Amino acid sequence: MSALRRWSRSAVLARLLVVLLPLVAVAAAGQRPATPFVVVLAALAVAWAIAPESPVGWIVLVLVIGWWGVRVADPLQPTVLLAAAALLGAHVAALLASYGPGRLTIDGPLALLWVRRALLALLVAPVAWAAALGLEGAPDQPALWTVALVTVAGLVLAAALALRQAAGDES
Amino acid sequence: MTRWVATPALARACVVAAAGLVGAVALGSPVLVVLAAPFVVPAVLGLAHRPRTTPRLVPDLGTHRLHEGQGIVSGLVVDPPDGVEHVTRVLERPSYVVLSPASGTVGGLVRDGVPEAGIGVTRWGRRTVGAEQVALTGAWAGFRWGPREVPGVSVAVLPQAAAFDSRAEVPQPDGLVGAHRSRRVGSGSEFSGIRGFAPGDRLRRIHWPVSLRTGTLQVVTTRAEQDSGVLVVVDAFRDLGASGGVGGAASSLDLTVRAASALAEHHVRVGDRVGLRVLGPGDARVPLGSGTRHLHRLTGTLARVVPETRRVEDAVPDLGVQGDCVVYVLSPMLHAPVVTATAALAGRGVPVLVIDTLGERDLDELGGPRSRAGLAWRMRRVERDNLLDRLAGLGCPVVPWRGPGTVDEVLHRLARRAQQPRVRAR
Repeated sequence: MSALRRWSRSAVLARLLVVLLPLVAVAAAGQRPATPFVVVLAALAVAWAIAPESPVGWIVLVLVIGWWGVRVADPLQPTVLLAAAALLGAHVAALLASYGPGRLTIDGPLALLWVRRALLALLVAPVAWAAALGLEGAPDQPALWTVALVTVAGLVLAAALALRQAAGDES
Repeated sequence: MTRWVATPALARACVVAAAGLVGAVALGSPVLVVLAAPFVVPAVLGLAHRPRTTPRLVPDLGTHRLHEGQGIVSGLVVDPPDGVEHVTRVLERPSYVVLSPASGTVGGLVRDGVPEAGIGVTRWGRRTVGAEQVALTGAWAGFRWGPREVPGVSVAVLPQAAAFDSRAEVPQPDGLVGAHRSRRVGSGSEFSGIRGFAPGDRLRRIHWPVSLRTGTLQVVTTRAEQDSGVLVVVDAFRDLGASGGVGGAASSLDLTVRAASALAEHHVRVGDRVGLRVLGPGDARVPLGSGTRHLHRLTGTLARVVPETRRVEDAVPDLGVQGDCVVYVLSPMLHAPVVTATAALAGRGVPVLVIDTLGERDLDELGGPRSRAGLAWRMRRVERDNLLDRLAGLGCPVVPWRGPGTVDEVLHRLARRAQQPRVRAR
């Protein structure tokens, strides 16, 4: 507890955002989620806020994204953009909190830089949303899904190779 | 960790983007693409901006000597800075070191300059400052280098020059030139008397008004001006009380070292030759000398004083007094051999002045005056007072350190006594 008391205000604010934004992303769906789901999500979000570099972070994000894909009745409603912004905000808040120990004051210019970067990254979401809306009424095109699967697999493979090469070069 | 490794944030962005896109394709749910797509940007750009340099960290404190109470700016050079976007520094805080900011952690973007931290030292001695952990982060927080430990730098913290001044003459001026009035008549500027002209007197010394009045040539005589030898003896056998650093409570060794520094600086400034003898670990001795370089040597030696922690033998220490000089013994006078050595010196006719650096000790720290420790301390004080009375009876004055003017009255008395004929015990 004494370590928590030494946290800077900016670090506390960033951690608050890490806890609240995933819940905002769920609330944006406009339907009441199951209580156990909310409790588990809140607990995981608190754990993520305490340890912003832990793998709990991606569990929280994947959990919310999966819930939107599986449980939300009308997933392509406009508030999905709010959910996308909230999830990216939680990611950026955790990233800012992980630049140093909790007692480190988050630098103003650094926070501003990441707000700009987050807004830039968010530009992809409306484009994807518009494309999804456009494809929703179209007849099923198995070839399109195959091409998409191959593209995604290629991207994932490239990312994995890049990460592996980064580690291998330095060791 | 001394290589660039992917950050958890990059891994998170990659995992979420991949999971969202794979899930969208597998489940045929386009909403997953909408939610995961924003994570593709930081993931791709983080991977693309992997730094390929091996940075070298060089601490930059600017100085290796400072006085207690002073502060320095701790800088850091990152070489080369290519690919480094952000620097985080977490400084260690050893005893008697204060940091600014108080948390000791600073971070900032490299484009605004590597962040600096303030380091202040609050007590004399050798201190290792500037030890820190440094982490470098690349663009888009994709890769991190460190945290890497940067060792501290040892700096000599000189004792604060306590406010001290004295207008008293030292009683044993014996050099060739200096600021003190000699016992002998010589070619100085201070008036001594008027006497009849004798062969060999300089004509410019003739005092014409008196010569005209008396009808015979009269000359003005002046006193020679000489410097003096001053030996400062520092008793480091004990350090009593807790030190709160500069501005806080002072331990006995704090008082001793600061008083020794003030005395040495005062006497060097007026042109005296000053020597130093440290009784305790290291057994440091600085021979008599003068000048600014010598003063730096004296204060540097004082900064290295450490209190004895082992059991001290009862052998009478050699104070190292050679020739005529004034001896200041700065001590809490709780170690009997130091008292014996001082008494022996006074018995030899050497002008010795004891400066009591015990200071005021609060009995509440010992559990109050009625506690066992309090009672033992009071008994020890009675024994000590008895010893000091006997020392004063031998002609060795004892004065508590009070800063400016502490030794004036005593030195005046010693100077007067030095004019009188005396018998030395050898």
